Amino acid sequence: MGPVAAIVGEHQRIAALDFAILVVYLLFTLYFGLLHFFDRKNSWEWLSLFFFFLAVVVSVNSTKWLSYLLPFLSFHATVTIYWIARIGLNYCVFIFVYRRCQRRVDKWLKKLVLLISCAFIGMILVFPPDQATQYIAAWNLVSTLMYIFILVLLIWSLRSKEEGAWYEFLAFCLFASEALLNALIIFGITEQGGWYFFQNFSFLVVISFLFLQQVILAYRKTEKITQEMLLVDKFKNEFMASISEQMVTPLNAMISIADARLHEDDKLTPDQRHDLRIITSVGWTIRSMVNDLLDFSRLRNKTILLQVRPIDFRSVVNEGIERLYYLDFDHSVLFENKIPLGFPPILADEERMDQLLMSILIHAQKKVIRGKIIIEASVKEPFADISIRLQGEGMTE
Amino acid sequence: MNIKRIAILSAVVIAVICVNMLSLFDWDHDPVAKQGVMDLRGWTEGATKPLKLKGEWEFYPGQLLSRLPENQPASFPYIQAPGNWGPSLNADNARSAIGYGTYRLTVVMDAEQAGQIAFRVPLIRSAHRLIVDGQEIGAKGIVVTDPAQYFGQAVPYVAWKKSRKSASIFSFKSLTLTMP
Repeated sequence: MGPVAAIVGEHQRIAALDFAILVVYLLFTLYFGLLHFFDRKNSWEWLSLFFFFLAVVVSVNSTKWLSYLLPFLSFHATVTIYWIARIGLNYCVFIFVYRRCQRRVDKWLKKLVLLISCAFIGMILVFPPDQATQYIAAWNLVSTLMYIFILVLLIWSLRSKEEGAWYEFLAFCLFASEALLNALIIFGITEQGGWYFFQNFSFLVVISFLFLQQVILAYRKTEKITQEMLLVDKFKNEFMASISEQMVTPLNAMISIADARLHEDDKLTPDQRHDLRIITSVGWTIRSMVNDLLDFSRLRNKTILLQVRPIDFRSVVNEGIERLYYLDFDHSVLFENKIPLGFPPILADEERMDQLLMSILIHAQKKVIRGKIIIEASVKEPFADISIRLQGEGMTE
Repeated sequence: MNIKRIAILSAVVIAVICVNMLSLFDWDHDPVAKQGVMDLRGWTEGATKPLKLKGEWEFYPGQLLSRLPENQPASFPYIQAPGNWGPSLNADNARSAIGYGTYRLTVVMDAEQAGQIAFRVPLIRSAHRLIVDGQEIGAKGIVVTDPAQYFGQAVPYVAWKKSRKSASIFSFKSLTLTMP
């Protein structure tokens, strides 16, 4: 009782606070639900359900927001929903803690709690509310025993120094005391005052810390995985670069020996000469592949540099053709360099130009079964127009 | 677990329990109803501050009254509000909260305190009617003596009325469905 302004103000204040608590509980429901999809091992789904049931209980209490949200609900239905939510939230908090401390709890206890909870829910659904609520004292006793057991489990989990155990313990203490205070308010022993809201607020703050801690843990985990992946990638690049560098030396030696014999030994038979040419061709091809690997590592480390200078493109094409010619054992594919003598030098990185040309020519060689690959070039200021034409069998597109 | 941790844990649990127990005590010095009368004479804070109508209310179990009975008994049964009405309602079965009855409180105030007064009715978990000076100013559900016609509704609301120097507040409750 009091002045109209003060009473209306108090009514609005309580309604607003109840609504805020309801919204926060629903947000926690959503958050822990989402957390469950990303981390299915930590039983967050039970915490999500716990907050959902808690929101239902809050919506039936005090300002009774449920009657505004669902005005068609009868008093009987509201009582049923309220009790199912009360039983549900106790079961959820029990299962959440049980899953965390599974090693210390026998499975039969979980089944017993499930059985008792289902029995009470069954009673609420089957009997009319005035009869079902006769068993409230029994449920309060079961709840108290569950809370004591949960408290013991949480104290145990504190010993394991698990991250978040302190927040869980504090949150549960505040929730249990809030539940006690709720019971006292409903039994008319005390009333909904500042302390009730303070406890609610403290509970939310502690749960928020748990929430924040999970976000920080998830961030750290992602950061650690990213760092590890970067390190593995770096090691892989370094390994590839090292192997490539080690392969270049013996390859060069092999190519040099074969090339020297080819150009300096006049006593070689045509067959021997042919075989040596195949060896040098294969050597050059492998060396270009090793160089590609080296370039790939450099590319990842962003240490690759272009060395642009005037190059004789006709010579580059001739050298490429010579390397590839002997890879085709029956010489069914012929290469033809139609770049005119005296073609002006072009500005490019010779190594990259060679890489590009070889890639295209190897690809073209695979496409043509029998025929000709013709390389042409013309000047179109300020660029050079290069074309590669494929003629013969095997061209399907 | 070391002693320091055990001490902190115990302190947290004890602190929560103690503060809860402390909340049970009446810390404000607002007037309290005694033997069905809330005497607000000389209480100046009432001009700005809401007052909880707690204390001893007259209680008439099994009767729905909107005014005092003609053969008014010499002594009234009193009931603590807020509180459980079960023992006063059914002496034989104190655990049962099913029944109906009337709560009555007389508020006495100074002439300058009289005027527009509002009442915030919290979550009464049964059907009820609120009557001030013989006029019904608020109700939820259907208050009846027949259980078959009973219809419960529990939604908090605000009601107001222009009061005189002395106001009688009646509150009927019937067939509550206990919902602790």
